[in-house]
Formats: sequence, C-alpha cells, structure tokens
Amino acid sequence: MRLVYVFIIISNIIFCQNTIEGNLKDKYNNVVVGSSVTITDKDTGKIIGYAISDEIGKYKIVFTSSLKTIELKVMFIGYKTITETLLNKTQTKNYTLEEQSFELKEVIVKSEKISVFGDTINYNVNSFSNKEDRSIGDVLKRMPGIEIKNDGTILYQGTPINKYYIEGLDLLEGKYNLANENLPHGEVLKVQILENHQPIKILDTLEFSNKAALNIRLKKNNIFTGQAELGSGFSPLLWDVNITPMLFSKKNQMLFSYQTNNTGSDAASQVKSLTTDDISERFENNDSKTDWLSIQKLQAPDFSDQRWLDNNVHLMSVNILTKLKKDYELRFNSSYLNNYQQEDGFSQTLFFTASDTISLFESKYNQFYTNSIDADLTLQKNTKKSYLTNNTKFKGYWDGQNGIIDNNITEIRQKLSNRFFSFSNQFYTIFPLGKKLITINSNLSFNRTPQSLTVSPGQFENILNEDENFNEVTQEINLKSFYSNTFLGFTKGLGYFTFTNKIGLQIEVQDLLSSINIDNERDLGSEFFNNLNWLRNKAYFILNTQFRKGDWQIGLETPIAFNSYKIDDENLIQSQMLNRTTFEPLLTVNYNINLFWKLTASSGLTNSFGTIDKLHYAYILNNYRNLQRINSVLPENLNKKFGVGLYYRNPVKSLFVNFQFNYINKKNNLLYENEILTDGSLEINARENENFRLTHILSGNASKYFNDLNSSLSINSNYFSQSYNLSLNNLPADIINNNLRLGSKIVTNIKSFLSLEYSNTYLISYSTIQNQEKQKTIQHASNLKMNLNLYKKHYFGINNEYIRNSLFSENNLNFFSDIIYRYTLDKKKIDFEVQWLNILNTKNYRTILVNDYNYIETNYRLRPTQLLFKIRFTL
Amino acid sequence: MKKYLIPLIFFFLSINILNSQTLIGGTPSFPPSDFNSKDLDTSKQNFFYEYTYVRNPDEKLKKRTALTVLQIGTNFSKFSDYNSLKLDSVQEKQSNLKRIEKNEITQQLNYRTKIGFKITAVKDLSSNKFSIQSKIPSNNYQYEIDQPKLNWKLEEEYRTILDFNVQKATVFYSGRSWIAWFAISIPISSGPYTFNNLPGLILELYDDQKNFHFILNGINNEIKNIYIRNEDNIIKTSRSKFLNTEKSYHERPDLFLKGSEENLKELKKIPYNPIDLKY
Repeated sequence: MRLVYVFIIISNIIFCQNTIEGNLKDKYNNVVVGSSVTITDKDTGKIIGYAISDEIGKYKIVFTSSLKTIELKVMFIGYKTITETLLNKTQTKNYTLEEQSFELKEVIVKSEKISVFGDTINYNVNSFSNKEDRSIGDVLKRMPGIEIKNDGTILYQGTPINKYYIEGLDLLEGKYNLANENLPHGEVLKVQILENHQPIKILDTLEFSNKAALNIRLKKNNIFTGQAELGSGFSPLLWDVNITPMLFSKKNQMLFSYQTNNTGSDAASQVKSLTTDDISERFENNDSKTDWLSIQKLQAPDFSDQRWLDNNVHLMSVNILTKLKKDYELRFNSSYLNNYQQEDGFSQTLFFTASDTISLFESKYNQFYTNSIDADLTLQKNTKKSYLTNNTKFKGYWDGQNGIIDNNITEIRQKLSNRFFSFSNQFYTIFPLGKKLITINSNLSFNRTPQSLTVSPGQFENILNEDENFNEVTQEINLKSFYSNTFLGFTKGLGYFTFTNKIGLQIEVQDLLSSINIDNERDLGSEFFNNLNWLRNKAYFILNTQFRKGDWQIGLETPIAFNSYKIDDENLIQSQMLNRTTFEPLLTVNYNINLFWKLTASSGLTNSFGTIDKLHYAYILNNYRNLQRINSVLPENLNKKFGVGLYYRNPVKSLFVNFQFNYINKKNNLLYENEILTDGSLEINARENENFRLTHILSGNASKYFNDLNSSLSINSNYFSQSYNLSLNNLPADIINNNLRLGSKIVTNIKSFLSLEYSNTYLISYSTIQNQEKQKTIQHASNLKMNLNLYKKHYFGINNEYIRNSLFSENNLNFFSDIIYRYTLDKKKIDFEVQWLNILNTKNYRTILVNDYNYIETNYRLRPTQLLFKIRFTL
Repeated sequence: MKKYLIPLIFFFLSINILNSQTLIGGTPSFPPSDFNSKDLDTSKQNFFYEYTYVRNPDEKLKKRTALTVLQIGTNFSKFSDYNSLKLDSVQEKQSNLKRIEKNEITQQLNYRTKIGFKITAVKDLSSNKFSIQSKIPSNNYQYEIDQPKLNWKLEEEYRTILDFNVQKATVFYSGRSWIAWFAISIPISSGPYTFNNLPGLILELYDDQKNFHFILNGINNEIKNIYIRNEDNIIKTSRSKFLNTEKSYHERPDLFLKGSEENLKELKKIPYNPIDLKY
C-alpha cells in the first residue's frame, strides 16, 4: 500500500498537468462551434485529451502526460484538419480553420431495400446493385417482382409495364430500352413501381387500371449523364461503338444515341416499342409493318444475339422532351436504322400429314438489309383537370432481303423488296364540361406497302407455265390503306360508379394490287392479278360502367358495333358484302383481399374479322414454296375469353408471387385446307366449316430476396396448350400442341467481391395429330455466371452456358464460355475491358421448332470465337 | 393485425376528439390533421442508426427495433425516427385533402406503427440548444434544453463498425451508465438523441442494462430538408413538465383519451421506460 503512495507521488512529478486553450475561427472571422481539438501521442495515436469548441469558439484541454512533444489536431466536418506538433506545456493556441468539402462514403441502410407507399413500391437501387453493374437495367434484373425478357420487355408480377417514366416524364414511350441499357445506375436513387397505374391523370379516380408503371427517380434534379463505349476486336475485324448522352432536368429531358457494331449486338432492339397503346389496341388500328412476301429464313437461336447475329448496324436516335407553358409538353422521338444481317445454315423440315411424313432439306444463306426512319412528334397536356394529346408519326422502311437455297437438287435465289410507309395522326382529348368529362378522339393513318419477290428459277411450273421450266417468277404487291377512327365520349362519376359512353365510327379503305409475272412474259390470266377494293365501316356504341368501393373494382364494358364490309375485285368480277352486328361484353373484377393479396378475374366476348391478307381472290406467291389464294367468304371469329390472376406481394419480406390462368375459345367459320406437295410446297385453301381453337395458358412466378443471404431466388413456370382442326392433304387433322416451360434463377452474393448467377430453363414441347403422339422435344438451358471483383478495380466475369436439345434422332449438347476482364479507373469512371467470347469456338447450333403440323430442325452457323477490347466511360 | 390494433385505437380516439363523427358503420372519414413545418437547413450527411429498445422495463428480453436518423446540416442537426419523417411527408400530402379515408389511414398506419423513437431532437449548432418535440396523445409538445455537458471517459478499447475505427467511451448521464463507440475519422461531435461531446461521431451507443441500443447501419449524402414542425397547437413547455405529463399518461392513459367508455376500459397502464431516467 505504501508503494502505491510512493508511485502516485513520483508520477505526479513526472506526469505534470498542463492546459492548452484557445479560440477557433474561420477565415471570415466567425467563431467555429462544435469542432474537436485532440491531443494525441504522436507515436501511438492514443488520445491524451480533447475538447469541443463551445458557443464562442473556445476550447480548453486539461491533460497529464509525460511526453516531451504532443500532437494537436483540430478536426471538424467541412474544414481542413490542422495538425501541429507542440511542446508538452501549458499554452494558448488560436487557429483559423480553412473550409474543405467532406465526402463520406455512403453505406447502404439494409432495412430499406424495398418499401411501400400506398400503390407505390420503392426499390433502393444501391441495395440491389453490384460492382459489375453499369446500367440501371443490370440492377433491375435483380429486383424481386421485376423481370426483364430477352427483348428488353420489363415485367412486374409477370405482366408487362405500361409506362417507363424517368422522373415522372415519359420521354421514350415504348422505346424504354434505350434508357434502360444506357442510363448509369449510379445516377438512380430508386426505382418505383406504380401499381394500378392510370397514365391519364384526369381519369385517375374514375377509371382503374390493372397495369403497373415503372418510374426512375434520379439522385439529382439536373444531370447530364449517359455512357460512351468504344470497342474493337477480331476476327474478322470487329467494332462496337455506343455513344449515348442524356440530360434530365425539371423542364427538359434529352437522350441521343449513336450506335454501330458488327459484334452481334442487336442495337435495333433498343428502339423497338415494348408497350402497347391501349387506345389503338382496342380499335384494330394496324399501322405496323406487314410483310406479305418473304424469303425462307432460318429459325434463329433463342439465346443471346451476341452468339449468332452476324450484323453490321448503325443506329441513330434523337429523343427530346420539353415542358412548355400551361402544363403542355412537347416530345420528339426519331430514329434512323441501317442494318445489315446475314445468316447461314440448313434446315430439315418434317411435315406430318394424317397419312404420311414429308421431309424437306434446305441449305440457306440469307442477307437482310434494313433502312428505316421512324419519327414521332407529340404535344401533350396531362393534368388532373384536362388531358390533350396530339401525336403525329411517320415510318418508312426501305428493306430488302436476298436468299439462296440449295435443296440438293437446285439452287433457288430469292430477292425481296419489302418496303413500307406509314403516316398517322392521333388527336385525343378529355376535358370537363359541367359535371361530365368529354372525350374526343380522332385517328387517321395512311399506309403504303409496295413489295416484290423474285424467285429464280421459276417455281410452280404446273400452274404458272404449263409444266415447263422457266427462269424467274416475280410477285409484285402494292397495298394502299387509309384508316380513320373518330369517337366522342362522355364520362360521369356517380357515387361509387363511373359511366363512360362512347359513340364512334371507324372507316378503313384499302386497295390491293398484285401481279405475278414470269420471265417469258406469258400472259398468266386474271387468276394471278388482284385488284381488290376493300371498304370496312364500323359504327359503335360503348357503355362502360365501373364500380369502385373499398377493395372492390368491377368494370363492365358493353360495346355494340355495326360492322359492314364491302369487298370487290373488278378483274375477277368477284365481290362480297357482309353486315354484322356484334356485341362484345367484357367484365373485369379486381379484389384486394388484403394488403398483400390481390385477385383479378375477367371474362368477355370478342369478334374478329379477317384482314385483307386473309382474303384475296387471285394467287399470291408468299414465298418460293407457298402459292396462296383465299377466295372464300371473309373469315369470322368469335372469341370467348376467361382469365383469373392471383397476386401476392410482400415488400417487407421481399416476396412476390403470382398465378395466372387464361382460357380462350375461338370459333372460326373457315377451315383451312393445307395441301402439302411432295416437294414441300404448300397450297392453302379455305372452306366454310365451323371449327374451334381452344387455348389454355397457365403460369406461375415467384421471386424472393433473402436479406441475410444477400441472395434472390426466382422461379417461373408456364404451360400452354392449344387444340384445333385443320385439313391436311384432304384428311381432317385434330392437332394438339403442348408447351411447358420451367425456369429458375438464383443470384447470390457470397462475399462482397464474389457473386454468382445461376439459371436453368426447361422447355418441353409435344404435339398430337389425329391422336397420334409425335416425338417430344426437350430443351434444357443452364447458365452460370460468376462475378469476381478484386481490389475494387479488377473485375472478372466468367460466363458458362449449356444448352441441350433433343432432336429428331439424337441429343445435341452445346457449350459456351466467355470471359470478361475489366479494369476500372475509379475516379474518372473509365472502364477498360477485354472480352473473350465463345472460347470453345462452338460453330453451329442445332435446334428444333414445333409448328402446327411440322417440326423444323435448324442448324445455324454461330459467330466464331472472338476477342474484343472496349473502353467505356460514364458521361 | 394485433400490431396495428393499439395504434389504430389511439388513432381513432384522437380523431374522435377533433371530430365527433361516429365510426360505427360506413367508411370512416375525417378531415386530415394540420401540417405546418419550418425549414431550417438541409442535410449534408444522413446517419442511420438501428435502434433496439425495451418498451417494458419488466420484460427486458422483449426488444423492439426501429430505424432512426441523424441529419447533419450546416447550422442545424436533427435526430428522429426515420418513419416519423415518412409519416410527416404523408401527413403533409394528406393535409391538402378535404377528408381522409381508409386508404390514407392505412398509409399513415404503415409508418406510425414502425416508429420506435418517439422524440425528435433538433439542435441549433451555433448555440448548442436543442428543441425537443414529442407527442402525448393527443397533443404535440415542445421544450428547449441546453446541450448536456457530458464528461466522457475514454477507454483503451478499439474495434471497427462498418469499416470505421472506433474507440470506446463511457459516461454516467440521466440516471444510466452509457457506453459509446465513436469514430475519430468522422469529425462530427454528435450522436444519437442529445448525446455528444466526443471527438468524433458516435457510431454505437447503449446503456449498460441494454435498454436502449443505437448502432450505425447506413450513411448517405442525400440532400434533405431539416425542418421542425410548427403548428400553432404545439404546446410549448419545459422538460420537467413534459416528463411529468408523459409519466402520468403512461399510468392513466384513459384520462388523456376522451373516447367512448367501452373503448377506454381496454386501456390499462402503459409500460414506461424513458430514455432520460433522471435529469
């Protein structure tokens, strides 16, 4: 005990107590409050004493230390740290602090991955992104409940989204892939799913919607971003350029893109529209391109384009949206595509007739040229008080295709020009008048389809040239169409009900000219010339009643339409008229069982009538082995549809599940008689004979994110079955096609630097013709992707793909491997990348397709092994 | 549903006072509560703390968790429950509506039920004064206090939290022994609630009985408004008066809620475990 006293006395001598005090100011002479001043042992870094500056900027540290010198540090957020070595003695030290910005590395809050706000589900992008991700699309794939198909379509709970907004604005409409694949995910704060999204704000409380929209919330209000990518490689000489700058501000949004490559990446898919416009969908407006004539193509493999697409593409896209005064916004979207693709391979087709199996071998080499312009100008006002949109569109396609077929007997050359031009305008407005809403709509469109197909040597000698061989046959087609749809609507809300009445008229005028010419200019007669005039009118009245109360939403649509068709061919002196009154009720019911469960059901009747390509009195050579005329009555179908869906979403548990069942019963007035000739060529005739086509579709999807394991699991299944009747070589055939798809995907982050993606898909198809079971075909595809991030700068991606196909006589295994190495300069956000694709140099891919009454086995030539170097930077 | 029951009763009861509309039959609907706030600053950093607490001191093993956030601005900082900020934004939106119905109430309950830390503490960084706001049904209260002068004892213990090196410090304050882990590399002398006065941000804080536990689980640099609610009906008081009222509310909640008698019979004493045991 005495010793302790001695020690205390000694230590008091050695450890003398000192005080350091002073004032802190900034360079404007303001006092600095709350700054810490520490005194540390320079060698060990141990804190000996500290103080926090008070309200007048004063600090005072009383401390005891035996050290000769001490280190004083003044540290405060927003200011430069001051370090000074001082003698260990009592002293006064005043400091002036210099400002310096302080950026803390963000750490993601785990519990806020997904949150719900009414009908909005928020996904925190940081929580789902991995280091190897570049675009927002890369991150979306990992979010539970969201799925991206191969073509870029985004599904939420198994259903395509109806809008892709960026900060609430619809810059790209259906062409959202442009943003999804090029917007750096680092700019995105969160992704929102807007359930039951009604895009027209004035109808928000009046007309419910079952569709979900997606909204991208950015971190900043004004940003200029995008990415630029330059790549080159071999062999052959490869290039890959993608420059996509974009700008988002409160008033303006812009996205430009220039892309060119010959590496098999299908840039054209980025300007493909992936949403359907509800309004035009219901009114049978068809301003999309129809190819009347075709060359024989190969069945393209159903995996990544980069393995097989032999292309040379240039794409330019301009998208501008600007907000004008009085809530109007003006949008301009335009793209130009110049695309060359070629394909090489052979196919073996088996035609099953009731009595026989016909086999056809074709070796094919095809070239496709696309030259197209797409321009779209929209003026829109979308507020809670009124809605107005005027949309003008122009589309022009100058497309051509060449094909060479070798069927082991002759070489057949096909040359196709399939051009298409369309100009359309839609005006649509909703405004209140008293207690009612008035809707006015006007659609106009003009299309022209000049197409031609030349085949040499001439085919169908028996019909075209009295069994004599000849050099060349040319099919010319020119279709001109005019379409208009005008309606007036009244909407009124009454308690829980909303009533909408619409009265309208559709007019379609078409003029089809076609001719078949052969090289010796023989007069073939009127059977080979169409001069068809087509007039279709549809006057309609629609009463739409919607009921909404609590968790129930019920809608009943009862359209009555008077359809009239007048079709005549002057040359052939053939004509027909048809008048039909149709009633097409549709009942939809949505019920929110609770916060998590939702049930939907719908049932309805629709009629459809044949379009002009389903009725022509003279022959048309659709492709080299298909000569077709349909000189019967107009096809009429009556569809009965029924569907139910059950949806579960629990964002707290990150669990999303849905089941859907759909049944369609289609009654046709015509039975198609297919005559397959021994050389595989086909003649189709239609006969009046009532028949039915039944379709059953059953699907189920589930996805879950496991917080503790940092992993997500999704499983999906789809069963499709269709049964119908045909006449095959004069014998009736009952055909049943069945398809079953089962898939699963696991994404797991094992360590912060290592993640794995593993997916499996089984596709099983089989058909029965006249109770005779045909061979089952099974495809199993499996994909394992490993992402390795080392020292923040190095990324290795290893991708292994395995596809097993059961073919006619054997099983076929395909293996693919790719390696990607990426070096990132973090500060400048520049990536240097090396890709070695198809390491195993797999050259061919064999696959099988089950059609109506044929199986087509295709051998497709793939891209060889290739090495690609890329530089990518964020703009 | 049980989780929602108590807040739901409270919600309806407090509404009943404002608006004597009967809730029996029909869809409940009432006018939204006022929303008024004053923007003080914007945050430069937001620190998220997972908050685990014992609601009933007699059942120490039953713990609840919530998410709290410390927003650091230039002139002000604010510590609050993350979901109370969310609730504020919902109430702000709904304050423009004429009446709120089931959907709106569900939206509110969604956040209300997740609130674990019921106090909002706004600090004026130049004067070191806190404005504390809290609710005792069915009123909001506010009082001012000076920043407590905590005399921490630094310990020779080090570890890491979210990759930050932290040092241990202890203090006895407000009737409890507190253990803090602070990061000298984050030169912000602040922490959860009113805890401060360490030469670095407090990343973890708990009392030795583990009644209250805050631990950092996220940081972001998002710019958010730092505001204080300033409706006219907020009762301005002192700390001691507030704590007395709060205590009596937990003992006799029925006196505070003027609902129908049958409803109130259900309300027994509410367990009381304040973070400031003595002051």
